[in-house]
Amino acid sequence: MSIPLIRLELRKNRLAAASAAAAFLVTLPVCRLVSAATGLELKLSLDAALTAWVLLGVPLAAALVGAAAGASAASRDANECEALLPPSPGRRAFSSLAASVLLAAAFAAFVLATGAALGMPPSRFLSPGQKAWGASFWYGLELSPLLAIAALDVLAGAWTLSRLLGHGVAGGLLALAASALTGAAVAVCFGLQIEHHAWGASCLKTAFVLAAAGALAKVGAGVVAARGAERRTGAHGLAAVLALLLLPAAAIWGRAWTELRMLDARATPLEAEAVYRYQSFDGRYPRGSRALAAAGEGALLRTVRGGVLVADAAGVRALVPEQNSGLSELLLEPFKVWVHGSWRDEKGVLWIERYVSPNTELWRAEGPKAESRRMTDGGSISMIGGVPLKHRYPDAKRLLLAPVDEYFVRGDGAAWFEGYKTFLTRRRREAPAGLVACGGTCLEAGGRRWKLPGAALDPDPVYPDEAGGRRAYLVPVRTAKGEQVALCRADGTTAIAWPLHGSTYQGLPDGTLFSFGPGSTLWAVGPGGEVGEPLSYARLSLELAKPRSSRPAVMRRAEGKAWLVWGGKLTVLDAEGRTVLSRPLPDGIEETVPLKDGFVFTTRRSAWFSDWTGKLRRVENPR
Amino acid sequence: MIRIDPLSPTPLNEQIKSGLRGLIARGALKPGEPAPTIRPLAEALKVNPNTVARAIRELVLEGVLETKRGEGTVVAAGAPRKASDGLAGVRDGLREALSQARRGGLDWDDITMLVRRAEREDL
Amino acid sequence: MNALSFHDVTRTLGGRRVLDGASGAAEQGTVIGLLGRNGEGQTTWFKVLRDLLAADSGTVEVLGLRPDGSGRIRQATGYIPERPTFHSFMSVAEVLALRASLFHKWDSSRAAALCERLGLDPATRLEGASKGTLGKLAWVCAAAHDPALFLLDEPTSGLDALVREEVLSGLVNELGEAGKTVLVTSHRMDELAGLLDEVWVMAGGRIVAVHALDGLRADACVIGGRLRSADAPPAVPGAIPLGGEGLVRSWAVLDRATRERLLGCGALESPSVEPLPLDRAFSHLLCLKGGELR
Repeated sequence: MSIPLIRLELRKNRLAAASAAAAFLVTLPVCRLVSAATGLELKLSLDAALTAWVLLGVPLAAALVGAAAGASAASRDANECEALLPPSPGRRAFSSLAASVLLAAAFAAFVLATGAALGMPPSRFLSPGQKAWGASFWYGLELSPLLAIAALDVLAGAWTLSRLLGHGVAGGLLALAASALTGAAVAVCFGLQIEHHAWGASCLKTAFVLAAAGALAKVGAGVVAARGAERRTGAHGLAAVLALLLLPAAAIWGRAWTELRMLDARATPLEAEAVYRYQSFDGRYPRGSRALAAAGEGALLRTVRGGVLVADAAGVRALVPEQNSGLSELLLEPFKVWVHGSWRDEKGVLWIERYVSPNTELWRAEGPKAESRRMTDGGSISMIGGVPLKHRYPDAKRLLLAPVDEYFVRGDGAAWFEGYKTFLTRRRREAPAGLVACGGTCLEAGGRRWKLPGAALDPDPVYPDEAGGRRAYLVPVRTAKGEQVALCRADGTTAIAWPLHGSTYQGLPDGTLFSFGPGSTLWAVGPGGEVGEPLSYARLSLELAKPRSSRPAVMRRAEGKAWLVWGGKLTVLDAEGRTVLSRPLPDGIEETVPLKDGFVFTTRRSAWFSDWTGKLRRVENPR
Repeated sequence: MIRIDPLSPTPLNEQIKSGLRGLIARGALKPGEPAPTIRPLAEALKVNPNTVARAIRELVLEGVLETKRGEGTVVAAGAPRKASDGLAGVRDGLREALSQARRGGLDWDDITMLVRRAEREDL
Repeated sequence: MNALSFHDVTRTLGGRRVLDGASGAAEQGTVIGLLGRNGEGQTTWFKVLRDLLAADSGTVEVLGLRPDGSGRIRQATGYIPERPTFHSFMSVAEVLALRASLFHKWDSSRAAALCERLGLDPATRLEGASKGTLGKLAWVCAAAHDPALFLLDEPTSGLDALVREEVLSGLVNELGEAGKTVLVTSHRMDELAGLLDEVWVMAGGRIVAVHALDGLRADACVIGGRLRSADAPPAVPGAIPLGGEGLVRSWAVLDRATRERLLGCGALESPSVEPLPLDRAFSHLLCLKGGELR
């Protein structure tokens, strides 16, 4: 590559990039027209258009500039005139490729900058985990490397094929088709949550395409200069490149197809649900599922360079696994290491499940002995009923489970047992699961029996929460006042905690359990099991005028007051719902985790700690 | 000023030399005047500058041109005589040869052929 | 020192041996005219010399450099292609600026002077430019980095008389500087006759003949005469039969040795020797193929 050549190539291909930019700019007034005609909110239509431009337009523009550059690199005129220059054909080809990458990047930057100017920052499109789309499924997903890979892939493909065919339209369309085939396979893999299989293969494909482009560049003018004589070489090259383009896609499709055939097994309601519940983080639990989920929450994890940042009731700290070292690890880390989930099991051990290409690692981050184990057999781990369970599908019909502790000790010789029902039966025999008895009117656990203030709504086992350091069970019941949640205290007494509204409740580090009730109310059970009056945040809701999330994040509920993070502010409400303290917080809050003496939240780039008066300090990333 | 025929069998430097001699004999170049410089002459004639340089070098040796310090190559003082001597001698010789040929009944084609053959053998 | 030397160079393209053991050497400072009919391998050979195509076998050395795909040879040579092509979206000045950024020894003032000389306006746009403009620009591009070796493929073809004149003058001007080696092909070799030191003949992918121009001028001739015996025409290699009727035959002869052999073989009665003008000598050379007569 050389700068003058790249400048020359930029100039030759600027028309393609400019037309893409023009097409993009034209859509903006069209959005206005559409929203005027249909009454759709302008922001919404702009959002949709920009999302489409970022996710589809950028790869398309990459195909366009790649194809244009490839075709012009193959054109007779350019070759005859540039062959006189000192740079080798290889350098000319690489310059052409580099220039088209620059143009595509410029186009992407232009689209993102326009979005930012319209009040939609790039993270809105590239980090859907920010709840821009409200889909928890995408939690923590960072689209920018995906998009970069996709754009690079289609660009290199378009360049190579156009160069080989000497025809931009044909080359561009072929490359788009090949990339779409891969892309669809990757999307299916994401849908099946086996994206790690797709990831490697699609990266491999991009590597293949780049290698093909490089080889073609190295072969140099030969193919083009003596086109008649070397036609056969060209045909062989084309066949080879197409094979390189299609093989990885075929591999991904094969993998996806295997997984698809197992779908009916995975969809067996009970088992699928059990697995699914523990992969979701937000409030979309089915009724009654909270009890199962309880032990799994309370840790906030972020992958940072070299390790994991953990914030939970014990504080904020960096956990850096030992095996992270070396340049390749450092460079590839954003692409090949990410955290799937974390759980604190009933013994208080924090588990982190990471994917470190190509294996899944279960990492016992704290506790008696931090260690990790690679799982190479393709199984995965979920937290089920407060216990991390390794599970796998040996065939389309069966689900095998094994306690992770056993798996650790014995490896694949672990005591696998079959099916979720077996697991439940085993758990029933053990404390502390609570079982509904007496035809649904009482709860039994650990040899103790509570008379419920109504009929239990679900026959499922109920797992306890620690309220005030002692076990307490929360059971949805039907009473004369409607559906409510009963609290079974450790001392054998029962009370109505709150009306059943939605499905979830959450715990705070001091042992307080709380739930949202109808009419913007916040209900809580104190650490000692005392049931309090609801607190209304309706007034705050009006003050904040349409905060992004419909409910506040509760950080603390004590002394008759509530500490809430909502609409980018920390607000303290008194018992009457009046604001007694309001502090603005940094923009772009992603996650919040309450701790004993304050709370931790993350923004896109950093983590912060705030105490109860709103005093902030930044939490340094490790390394 | 000078005309040469690059396709003719006569060596180019000879053609250039006779051309320059002719210029001097006709008085187009007078003694003491600078001789044509190599590059412009080469460009005008479309010949290799080396050939022109060789012709001029030979004319200096023959005393038609001379190199003067500070002035470059100029036409030598006795040049017109030397140049026309050569020409006059050739003219007389040819005149005699022609009359002899006419007496022998040779036509013009025969004569040109003879001239060429003579040139061949001369080289 | 040799500006150019190559030995036993072969190159196969599309199954055809386009270069078939070409060998030769050009001393620095010589002007060589390359004669050859279309399709005899000159184009491929020029590509090999400019390091755009690797030879299958054989050695090539250009200005002391071996072709290695790096473009060092193109840095040091000036080239005019048969059909000068430039980026049509550029102006003359932009073409020159691009080359200035790519050639280490590019001399902008020299380029400007050449433009001035040839009457080439740097502001001229190349979209739809005349052949004359392109030819002039090609010459400026070939000469402005002061190359020690010129490879000129039909430098004057398609140019009107005035531009041709200018380009030739430019070439003469270059030759005024010591040590410039030129390799030139032309279908109008006669107009270059005043410049050439040697002519090479390429046929069948090989250099089949090399003649010093002085020698050709002096020795090329047509030998005619009457055969002493009708059934014993002399078979002298290198003598090109021109035909004739009955016992009266003639041959074109391009070098002294052949001439003497033909005259000395005693097969001819009263042989005549007539000088052969260069243009006709060139045409005869073009008919050589593979070292044999055709």
